[in-house]
Amino acid sequence: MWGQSKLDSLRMNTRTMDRPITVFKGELRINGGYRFDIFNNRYDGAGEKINLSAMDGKAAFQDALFMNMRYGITDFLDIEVNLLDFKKMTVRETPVDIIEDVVWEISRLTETVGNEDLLLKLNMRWPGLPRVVDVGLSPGISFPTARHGEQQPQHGYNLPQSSLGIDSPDAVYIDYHQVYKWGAGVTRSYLEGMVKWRGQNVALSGAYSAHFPLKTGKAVYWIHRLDKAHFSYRSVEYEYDWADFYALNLMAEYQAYSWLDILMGFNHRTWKNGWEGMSGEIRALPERKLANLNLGYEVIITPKMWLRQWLRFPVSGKNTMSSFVVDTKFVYSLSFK
Amino acid sequence: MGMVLALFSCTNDVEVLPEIETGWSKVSAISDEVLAVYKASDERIWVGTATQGVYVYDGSNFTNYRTSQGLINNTVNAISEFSNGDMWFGTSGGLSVYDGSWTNYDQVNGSPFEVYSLLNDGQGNMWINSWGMGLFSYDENDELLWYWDANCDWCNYINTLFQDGQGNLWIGTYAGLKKRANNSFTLYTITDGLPDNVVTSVYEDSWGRMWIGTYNGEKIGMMENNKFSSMSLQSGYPVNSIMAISEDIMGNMWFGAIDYFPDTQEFNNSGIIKYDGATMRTLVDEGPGRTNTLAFLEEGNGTVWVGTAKGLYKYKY
Repeated sequence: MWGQSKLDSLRMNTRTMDRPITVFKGELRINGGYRFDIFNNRYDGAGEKINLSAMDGKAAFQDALFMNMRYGITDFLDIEVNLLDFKKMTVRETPVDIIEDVVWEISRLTETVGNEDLLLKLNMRWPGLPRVVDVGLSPGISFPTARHGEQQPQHGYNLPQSSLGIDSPDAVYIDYHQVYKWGAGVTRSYLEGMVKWRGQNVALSGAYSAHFPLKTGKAVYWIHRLDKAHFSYRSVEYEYDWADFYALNLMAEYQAYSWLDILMGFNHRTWKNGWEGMSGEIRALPERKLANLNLGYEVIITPKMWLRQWLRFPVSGKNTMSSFVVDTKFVYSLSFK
Repeated sequence: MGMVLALFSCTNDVEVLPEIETGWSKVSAISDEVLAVYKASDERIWVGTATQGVYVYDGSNFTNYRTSQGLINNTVNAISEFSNGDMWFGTSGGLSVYDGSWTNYDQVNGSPFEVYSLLNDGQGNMWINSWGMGLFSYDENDELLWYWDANCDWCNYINTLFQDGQGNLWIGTYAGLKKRANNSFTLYTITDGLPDNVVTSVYEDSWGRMWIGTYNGEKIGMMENNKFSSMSLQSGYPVNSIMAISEDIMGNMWFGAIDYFPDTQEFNNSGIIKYDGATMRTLVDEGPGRTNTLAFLEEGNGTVWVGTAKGLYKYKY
């Protein structure tokens, strides 16, 4: 079943920058890794950068585990599926004390958890082109893995023992804990175009992709009431149209050694045309933008296993939080006879 | 590439929509004190003011109607729409009805009257209070009924009218809260658990809980499962009394407070208190800030109109 093949010798002699933009025929390539984000800043509607921790005491982190697989149907066509993109984003606001006769300690924890949508792609490259250039096109479709929106909150309330039974307690502690799900909640179409130019030891590539929702979705948010020490919750349904998503990715590679490729990149992402509505009124969500500069490398550990690591730095944005990202992934390549 | 992307997309054409401008904005067209805000069935917003009559907003422009245009009095305390589409305006000088032209009523039962509250009950009746003269109902057959409480003089001084989800009529008076159900009236007072006998505002939230604003600025009254209780307005800032109550689409309760004795117009004991379902917070440094707040209109779509002594404000989620 598995064994030495022509593919293995191909991989052994292929530097990172020379690798085609599709996988080889019969190759099964598995990507898996871990990414974490530290959200330090937020960009407002005018593009001004606001330091989150300095302005409102927020701290936000995101962990992500991801895995995808590609299989080469021919040397010019592969199929790709994102099997796992599990993320957990945590935003915690530092407790706020409101002091009157009563001390209120209010903390807020917002989590966004779960799997991103399942993306299925066909990657095609133009056949018959010389080594110096590669051109590709990737249509795809993504399927929701969960209902988009907020899960039932898990707020907590506590009175100190000394205050129990007293009409006006001297201190109250409230933890607002809200949980959201990742994913658009609706099926979306996907299209990406790629072009790559190769020199002797340098390669330049560019890709432009777009993601469009195929229909509108319905989600809920939750409202709460605190009755004595017990929170009650009620959901309110609303309709939404997931924002169109556009991404431009530019990358320069320098093949320093046959086993080491130095990567520099820039990406710019835009979310727009999304809306939410209820009671018959539809209102647009603000357009969001985020641009990053990326630095990375890829090491060929063995012909079958590579390590790729990226650092991402935000450089500009609009209406979005921005993060410093460390992205590490291993790629394992198998030949399938 | 753009054409390819467009062909690949199966979405319907996306209407170009204005982006949400969230947060507070002041309506510059109205600087006078706002006493009432009402949304009519044709989506127009009517705004009653203390000295400048009534304004109507058609989505782009405000038009002003005063006594010079036919309104009976420029102090417009209450606004409602009758079942035939006529707009009714309760003023300090009587009642005006607008159906494209103005019809004014300056007397009821042979006496001049002041109208503080109007309510269309959805069953063909318009309920009208007349300050010190009790309650009237007017129906589609032009029949006017007078409800006078001979046993309780102060019950005839009515501040507010409200209809709950079961169709019961709630009447906030100077002597307590009256409920009209099945054609009979029940009076609730401080002995039943109200924070104060002077009831200035009544509202039923989406949970079915009745909220009762009174002259007691320290507590807001509540009624649930036929039991009264009260909740501290422990916002850290004192208020005098709650004149308006509303709930927004996010489940927050809004309480509009007034200061009866403002010090050099600074209204230190007034403002908006927001209750998020667990905690109270006075809006001190946002929106209109500390000022008499007399009217709310929650449009049900993320917009809250707020009538204050400083004019009309709008809040968008």
